[in-house]
Amino acid sequence: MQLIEWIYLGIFGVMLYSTVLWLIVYLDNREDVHKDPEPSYFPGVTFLVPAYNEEDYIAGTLESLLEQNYPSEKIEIIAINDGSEDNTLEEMKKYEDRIEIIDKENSGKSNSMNQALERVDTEVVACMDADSRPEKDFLKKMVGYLEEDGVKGVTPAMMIEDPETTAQRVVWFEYVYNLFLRKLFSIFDSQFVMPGPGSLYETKHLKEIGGWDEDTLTEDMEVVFRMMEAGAKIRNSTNAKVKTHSPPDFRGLLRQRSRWYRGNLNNAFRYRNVFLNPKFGNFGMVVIPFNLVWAALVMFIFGHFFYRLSTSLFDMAASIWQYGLQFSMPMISVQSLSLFHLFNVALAALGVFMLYMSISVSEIDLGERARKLDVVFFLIMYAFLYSVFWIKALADKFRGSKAW
Amino acid sequence: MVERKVEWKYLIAALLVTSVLFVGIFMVGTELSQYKIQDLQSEISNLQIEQQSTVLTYLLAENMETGSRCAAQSILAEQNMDDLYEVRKKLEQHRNSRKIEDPRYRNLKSRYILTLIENYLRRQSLESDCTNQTVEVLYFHRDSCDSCSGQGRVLTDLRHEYSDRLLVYPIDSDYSLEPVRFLEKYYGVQRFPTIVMEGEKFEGYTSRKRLEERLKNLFRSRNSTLNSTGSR
Repeated sequence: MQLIEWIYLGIFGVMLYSTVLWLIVYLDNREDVHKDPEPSYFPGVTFLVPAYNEEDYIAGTLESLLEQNYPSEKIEIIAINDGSEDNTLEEMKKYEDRIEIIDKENSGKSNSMNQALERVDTEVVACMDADSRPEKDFLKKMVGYLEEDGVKGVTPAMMIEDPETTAQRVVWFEYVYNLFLRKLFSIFDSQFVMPGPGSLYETKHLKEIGGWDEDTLTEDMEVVFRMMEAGAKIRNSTNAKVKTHSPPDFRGLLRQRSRWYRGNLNNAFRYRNVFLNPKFGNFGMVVIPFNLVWAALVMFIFGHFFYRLSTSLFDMAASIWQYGLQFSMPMISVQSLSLFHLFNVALAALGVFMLYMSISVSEIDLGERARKLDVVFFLIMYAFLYSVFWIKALADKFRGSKAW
Repeated sequence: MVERKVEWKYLIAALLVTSVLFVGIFMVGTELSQYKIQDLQSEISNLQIEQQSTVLTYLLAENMETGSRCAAQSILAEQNMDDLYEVRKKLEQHRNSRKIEDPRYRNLKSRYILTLIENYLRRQSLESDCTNQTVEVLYFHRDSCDSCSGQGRVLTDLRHEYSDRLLVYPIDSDYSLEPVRFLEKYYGVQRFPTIVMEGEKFEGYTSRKRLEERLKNLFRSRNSTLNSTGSR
């Protein structure tokens, strides 16, 4: 076996291992995946809704928050207009008798939220992206987790709202998959992001660690590192659904993901003391290292595939140029099958099973034909896209881009 | 402050399951290899049986039939070469998909090469004034030679164009079989690729144009011989 084949064998091993690990975590905790603890009381919750040019969506978000199935005197909403150039402020003002509004100059999401955080006096504080709409029982399903000893944060179940464009439909399924995966991470005590749309924090804890970081590209990931250092536990609810938006075009999607992955790298470097540090349990020893390994792995596979594809296209073109178009039926026989095909089949089977599990956990209706097609396209395009995301992230990093 | 532990039980369980999966996949892989080798074995056996029956029929015809000498020879001349090329492709596919070396493959490939050379030998013995309008080409190559794949494509292209009249015998010089060594010595093969077309040697990469030119000359001289002596 040549070197490249040993590398692939190693890659297969890593991929098999990770899938098996998550399946085992799931199987051992099956009953907990769907259940949320009943809250014994309803703590006060303040929602922070920072908005920059979100005139189309802000009203919907505020409505969803006001319609929460939760004692209304226990919910406070602070909407922060981050110097929008459109009618976001006007839209907010329609609700001014029921919410607090901070109008300020543009200074970024983190700073906006930190300014609002100073005014929070409820036990729980939550962030809510201005384009995201939580379901009615969202809050009720999440607050119970905070009663557990040591839990300082709870993450929701994110889904994409009405995916229409291809760029949205391709990632729609990724969100469904992550909904399931996030729960497994939570059970494994190693979540590494507190998503903007609807994460809950224990106010005291968040203020103690200093709120959100205003310099990072991904404040939702950076805050987790500080929470981990302070010994906090983070839980997740698969039933607390919040619908959010994904960029409608591929350029926007690429920009978003480049930011995410660059942020990921920056934070991993900044908090490199966490890396393989047993003090940080599963988070430091398994998940953080694994994220990096996984990204490198996908890039390698894609890079190698692209290399093989382009050399064979090149050969094909050269031979057509020299000999003209020849159509000989490629002979397909059992002799072409190899050990690696078997590995691919095994991985595919496990992957499909994981996909199936994530569909059933998220309780979405796959009855629509369109949704079924989305699954197919997801499977085809995702690996390719994922590698492109990472390649762009690295390219942007090398160019020193701080773009959002 | 919460005590953070690494949940080794999951990590170890996953390692065990993954190892079992790995072993399982390798075992299936072994079964697959076995199946593939057996498939090749039967293909090559069939090839050898075909070859032997054609040769025997020819010998029988030559020795026993009182009919025209050329009729016996046409049995050999009209033998279908497609199977020979197909088995070669299968051997190549097998080799390309192989991750772990198997000595049985070399054994099968050797048998194939011997069958090939025997076929060549029989064809060479056919007399030129009967039906021998085919040109036989010996193509010596090795794995390590850079221009061999390009040369191979040239020959395949020519073979497709002149289908019944051109026969290519690819001799894999990586296999030190006696007949292979004999042929190499006989034709003084030193570089790879080397093509021997009816006695004329082309060393190194030879262009399609040059080969085609020589080929056409051979066809022309064959036709004129036939025409001058008339059919028998």
